[in-house]
Amino acid sequence: MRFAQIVMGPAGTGKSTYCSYLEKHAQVTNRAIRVVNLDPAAEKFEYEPLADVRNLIQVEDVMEDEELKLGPNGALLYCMNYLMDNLESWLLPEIGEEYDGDYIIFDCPGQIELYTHMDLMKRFVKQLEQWSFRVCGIFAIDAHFLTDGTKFIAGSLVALSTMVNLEIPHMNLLTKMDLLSKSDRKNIERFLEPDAHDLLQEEAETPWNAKFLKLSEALGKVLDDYSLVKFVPLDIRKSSNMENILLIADMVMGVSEDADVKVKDFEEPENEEESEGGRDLDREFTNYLEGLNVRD
Amino acid sequence: MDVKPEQEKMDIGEIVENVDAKPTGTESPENVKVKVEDTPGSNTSGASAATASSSEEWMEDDGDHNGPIVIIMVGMAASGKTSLTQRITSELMRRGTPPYIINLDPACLDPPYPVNIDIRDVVKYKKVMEVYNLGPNGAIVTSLNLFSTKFDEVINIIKQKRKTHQYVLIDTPGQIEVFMWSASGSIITESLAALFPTVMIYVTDLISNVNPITFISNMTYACSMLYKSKLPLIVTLNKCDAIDPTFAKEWITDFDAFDSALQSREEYTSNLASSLALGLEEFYNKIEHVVVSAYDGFGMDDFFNAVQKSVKEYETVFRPMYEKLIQEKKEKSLKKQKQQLGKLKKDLRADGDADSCFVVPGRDAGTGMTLRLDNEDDSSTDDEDANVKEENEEESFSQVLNKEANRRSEKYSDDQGQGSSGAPSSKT
Repeated sequence: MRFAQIVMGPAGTGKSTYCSYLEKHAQVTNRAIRVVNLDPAAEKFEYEPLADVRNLIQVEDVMEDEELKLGPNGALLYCMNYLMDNLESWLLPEIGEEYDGDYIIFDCPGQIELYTHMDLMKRFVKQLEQWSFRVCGIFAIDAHFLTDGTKFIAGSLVALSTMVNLEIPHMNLLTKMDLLSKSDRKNIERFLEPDAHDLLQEEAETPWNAKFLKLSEALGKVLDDYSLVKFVPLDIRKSSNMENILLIADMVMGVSEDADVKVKDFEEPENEEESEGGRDLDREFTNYLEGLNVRD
Repeated sequence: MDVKPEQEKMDIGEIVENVDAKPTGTESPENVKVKVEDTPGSNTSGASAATASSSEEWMEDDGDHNGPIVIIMVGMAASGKTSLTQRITSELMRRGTPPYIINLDPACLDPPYPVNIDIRDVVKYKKVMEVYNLGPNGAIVTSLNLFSTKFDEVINIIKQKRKTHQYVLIDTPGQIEVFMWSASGSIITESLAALFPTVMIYVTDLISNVNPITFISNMTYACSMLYKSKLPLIVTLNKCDAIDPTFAKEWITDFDAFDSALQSREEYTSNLASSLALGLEEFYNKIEHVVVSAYDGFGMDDFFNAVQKSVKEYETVFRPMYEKLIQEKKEKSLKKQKQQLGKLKKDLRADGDADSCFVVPGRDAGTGMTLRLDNEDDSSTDDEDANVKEENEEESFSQVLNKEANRRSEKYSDDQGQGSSGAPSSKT
C-alpha cells in the first residue's frame, strides 16, 4: 500500500512551498516522503523532486511551437494531456515499483479547469489507485482571503467545486498563516470550528446577508454534513502544524491500521450508511483540531 | 538596469488610454463577418421597438446612481468570455451606447474588440517574465499586480467617462483564479464596486456542462464568486448555438431532473454532487441566469435585462452593505487595502525592476495617447477620517494610498519573514 497527497489550489497559494517544507520536515522526522512536480508551468521550487514533469514536457516549449500556436492555458492543457498519455511510460518508472509505506506528494497545477472541465486529474487519481496508492486531496487556500464568514464559504466552495470531481477524501489547507498578523490569526481560529452554521449567525445584519440567508444555511448544511468545512492551518514555521497535517492526512487515507475509515460517500459505492462512518471521523478530526496550536 | 530619470517620472503613473479606439461598428465574432447593422443580434422579432424603449430606460437609470455600469467578464478558459465580450460590444454599438472597454488579460493575443485601456499597453508581459524570472502563469499574476498598483488612475478615468459612456466592459485573464483569488483581483473588483454599479458575469460554456458533475462544479464555483465578491452575479451559459440549452435550464429549475441525469450518468451515486445541487437551489432562485450565444447573438435582450436587474440589486443590496461597512470598518478595511497595495508595491520593487516592466510611450507603446494624472501636489492629505463626502475620498484615494504605502513599507519590512509573500511570484 502506497500513499499519495495531491496538492491543488489556486496559483500563488503556496502549494510548492508546502511541498518543500513537508519534504524538509520528513527528512527531520525520518519519514520517507518524496515530492513529484506535476506542474509543467512551474517556475522554481525549493524541493528536490523525485520526478519532474518538466523533464517530460514544458509549457514554454509548447507555447513556442509554430504549429500549435497555443497560449499559456492551451499549452498547459496540452502538456497535461501529454502527461496523462504517458503515465505508464514516464511516471511509473520515475516513482518506481511498489514498496510498502511509500509516500509521495504530487504538486499539481492550479488551473481549475483541469479539475472541473476535464477528467484529466480524475484519470490520474484512478491510475494511482491502480498502482495501489491511497490518495488524499489537499486543497490549499491562502489564509489572507478567509477574513469573514462569507469568504470562508467562498473558499470552501472553490475547494468543493474542485473536489466534487475527484471523489477522493480531502482536506483544506489554510496557507500563509505565518504571514498574518496576530489578530488575524486569532480571527481565523473561528473558522477552524466545525460548524459553518454558527459562523454565519455571527455575520452582521446587512441586506446582502438577509437576501442570501437561506442559501448560506443550505450551503452550511452541505458543508457540515460532509465534514467538509475543515480547514487545517499551515504556519510553515511550526513543525507541529506539519505534523498535524500529516496525521490528518494519514487518518484520512487509513495509514494507521485501526483507523475506522469509512471516509466519504463517493469513495465506496456500496456504503449506504456513510453518514455514521463520516461522523466518527468528524469527531476525531475535531479532537485533532483542538490540539492544533494556532496561537503564538 | 538603471532607472533613468524619465522613467522615474513615469513611475508616478501613466495609464495609457487609447482615446482613439472607438467601436467602429464592425465588430463581430470572427466567424461572422458582417456589419453591425446586419448582425442577427436580437432573439425577438420586432426588436427595434423593444430596444428603443429599453435604451431610454437605461438612460433614465443612469441618472439615478453613479454610472457608468461596470460589467466584469469572468470565466474559465475556453468559456467564450472574449467572444462574448465582443458580442456585447457590438450589441451595445447597435443600441447606440458603445462601451468603454478595459482588457486585463496580459497574455492574450489580439482582442477582437477595440480596447480603451489595455493592460498590455501598460505592463509588458514578456518583460515581467524576464525581470521577475517567472513562467507564464506567474507573469500573468504579476502583470495584474503591477497594473493594480496603478488602478486608482483607471478609476479616475472611468469617472470622467460618466457623461459619455453608460457601460464599462472589463475582460479578465483566462485563468479565473488569477482574478478571483489574488490580491490584485480583489483590489480591482473592490475599487470598482465601491464607486460604480458593478455586475459580475460568470461565463461558462454549455458544451462542457453537459456533464452534470462539471455543471455542478461550475455552479459551485459561481456561488463561490458570489460569496467572495458580494456583487450581483449573472450566470451566463454560452454557446447555445452549438447545443440545445434546454437541459441546463431544466437542471436549474428542477432538482429532480438534475439528480436523475446525475444518477444515469455515473456508475454510482455521487452523493456530494447531489447534495450540492440541492443546496444550490436557493442559489438559482436568487441569481440571474441567461442563455446566450456569442456566435450568433442569441440572448442579448435577456442578458441586458439581467444586467438592469442586477444594477437595481446593486443599489438595494450591495451599496447599503458597503456603506455600512464604511461606517463600521472603514478605516480598518481601507488600511488593509492600502497595506496590501503597499506591500504589493514594495514586493514588486524588491523582487525585480518593476519600472522596467512598464511601457514607455513613444518608445515602445502602440497607438494611443498617454494620459498623465497629476496627483503629486494634491494638498488634501487629511482625509483619513470616515465622515468625508465621497467626492473627497475619491480625489484623495491615490494620494492617501501612496502615503500609506510609504508609511507601511517601513513597518512591514521586518514582518516580511520568508520570501513567500505571495504577491508577485506565483509558485503554484
